Amino acid sequence: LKDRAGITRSYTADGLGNLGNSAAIIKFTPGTKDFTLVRNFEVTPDVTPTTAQAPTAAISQVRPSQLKGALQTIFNGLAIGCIYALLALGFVLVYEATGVVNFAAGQFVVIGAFLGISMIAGLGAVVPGTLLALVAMIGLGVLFFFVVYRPLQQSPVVTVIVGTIAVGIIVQNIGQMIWGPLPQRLPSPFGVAPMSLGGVVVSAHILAVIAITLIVVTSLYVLLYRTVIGARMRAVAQDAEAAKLMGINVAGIYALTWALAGGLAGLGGLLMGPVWFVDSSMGDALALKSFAATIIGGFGSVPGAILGGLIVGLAESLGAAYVSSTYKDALVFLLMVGFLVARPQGLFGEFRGDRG
Amino acid sequence: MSVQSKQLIWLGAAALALTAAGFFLEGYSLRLLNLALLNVITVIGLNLAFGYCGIIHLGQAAFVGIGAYVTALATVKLGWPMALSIPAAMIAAGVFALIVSVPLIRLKGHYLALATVGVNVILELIAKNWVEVTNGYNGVTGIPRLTDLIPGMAPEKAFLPMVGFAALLVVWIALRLRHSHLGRAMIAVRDDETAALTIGIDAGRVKVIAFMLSAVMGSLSGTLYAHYTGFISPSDFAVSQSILFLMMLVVGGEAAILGAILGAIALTFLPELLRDLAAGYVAAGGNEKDIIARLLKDGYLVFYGLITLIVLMALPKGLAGLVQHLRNRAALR
Repeated sequence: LKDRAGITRSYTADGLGNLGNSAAIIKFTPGTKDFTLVRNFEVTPDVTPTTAQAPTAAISQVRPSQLKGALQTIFNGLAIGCIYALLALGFVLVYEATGVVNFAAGQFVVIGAFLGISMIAGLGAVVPGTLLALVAMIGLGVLFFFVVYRPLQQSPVVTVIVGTIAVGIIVQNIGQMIWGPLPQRLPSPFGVAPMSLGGVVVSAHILAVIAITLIVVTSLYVLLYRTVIGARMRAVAQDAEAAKLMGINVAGIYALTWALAGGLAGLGGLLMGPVWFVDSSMGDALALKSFAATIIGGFGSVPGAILGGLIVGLAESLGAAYVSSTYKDALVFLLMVGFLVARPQGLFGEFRGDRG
Repeated sequence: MSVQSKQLIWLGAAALALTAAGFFLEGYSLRLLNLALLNVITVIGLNLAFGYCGIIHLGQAAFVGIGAYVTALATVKLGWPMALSIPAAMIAAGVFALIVSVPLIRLKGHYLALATVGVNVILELIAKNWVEVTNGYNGVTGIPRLTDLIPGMAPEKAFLPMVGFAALLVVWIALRLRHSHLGRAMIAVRDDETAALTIGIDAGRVKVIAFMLSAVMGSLSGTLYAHYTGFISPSDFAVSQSILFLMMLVVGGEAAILGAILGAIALTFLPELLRDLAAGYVAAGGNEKDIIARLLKDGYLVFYGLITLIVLMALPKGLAGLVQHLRNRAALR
């Protein structure tokens, strides 16, 4: 699509489009390719994050009224749900292996996207830049293991939780100093041009998000259940002491787990950046939604993480379309608190007395 | 000398120190001291839930917010006098804490932590979006100020004795609680809930009471804050604020009243100290725009995080533990 200045823009199907430093809100007529421009605005450095986020509220007026609108909403929910599922998988891996919940994970996602922006700009090429950022995030995961987790390993759970929160604050604020507080967009290696698929507007990037999630989930499953390394990881998760006695390099397995968690968070950020805005203050909200996904699916369950992620994505997207866009996050957390109260083990998690 | 009279002597000394501060400090430093004392009230409340009872509470700002918003609505929209708005705020927070504690208290560890975050996020969203009642992002202005009761005095100076009195009162209550049946029951529940249950402690009830007391103290801080600044907005009560309260407690030393006080004061003054350091760095020939100057000037949250990490790793009992250690060494000499 071209805007008034003749610049080609990409539009996500939910009506928020952006390119470089400009963005627009458009209203699609459900079922057709017709659209009206609701608002066109520049994201300039003097725009504070709150004003830049304000347009989200305007989307609430775009209420799909027909079946195809509903399909579009469901599709959008599944797409963002894939990102939450990837993050939730990171939580599950770390939780299973170490019993720790990483409260800094949301900031890792944001840093992953920001590293992507810088490395793509630095290398001048999208694919190598994205891959390099991914490698850097794996490195950050390992660094986190050695600098933060290892010194606190013997401490009570509370201490480790506070430790990850502290790291989250450090990472978020350093990120904000380097990349600024404004929402940013990342180039996509797949392209974000919209196309119509049975009346639903999609882009190559969003299809790639879904495909990559499927690939990552399958490979993780194979890694965990079909390889020796996976068997070792599961052994460490069950009983680290016994695993050590069997000659398993427990520290190495922990490092690998944190590397995978860093990589998954980075991947989440890199996949999210091209379609949804990324800014330095969104880490907490992201982490919370992925936590919600993990709780709904069941802590420590791989299929639970995937299903939980998709449910959160759907709840958010359907909630915004049919209930209230301002309270879509509240809906997700209410769902989470409801699960915590009624079914603390989640959909797939096994019941454990110490959980609730 | 009995423990009680020792405590009273310390409280008296603290009251004298605050009076002296009122005479010698001016303007901005005095304002910071007032805010630090408000934070002391909040963090001592948090200490009851987190330090004593072991409830990982990442939503204390929500209760400070309830205190502030109930105050604002009662005075600005309903025209209630301050004598009613302050107790109303505390009662509202206590009742709300009781309601949410019914489902929450059953949870443990990070499940509880997440649920408290969830509560805080939902309240924050309501404060931001229920515009007819809360004025949304703009917040509420024109809340009557306590300091107007003493006309002709600088508001910072007039507020100090009020918040000082409230803080000392809260400290006294916390001290009394520490060695009471209830206080010991809280610590027993934290250390081993099953063991506490077997000796006849109603762990659920103890946790609900700790959570409620923590909320009421938070709301006292919130209502005083609203009556001090005359203006409140949702960002003052966000999850990030709850995290700051938790950091104050951890840095000061959890489960220690002295720790809550030291942590709240130290972290309230830290940004100012860093700003002075930044000015000194620039004066000594440092570049105003380089990373060190920017970090000192705007990056105080980075230092909060770093200090918290260092305390967790090197000083598990926080500043209060350090004070205790130094006192023990002095006693040995």
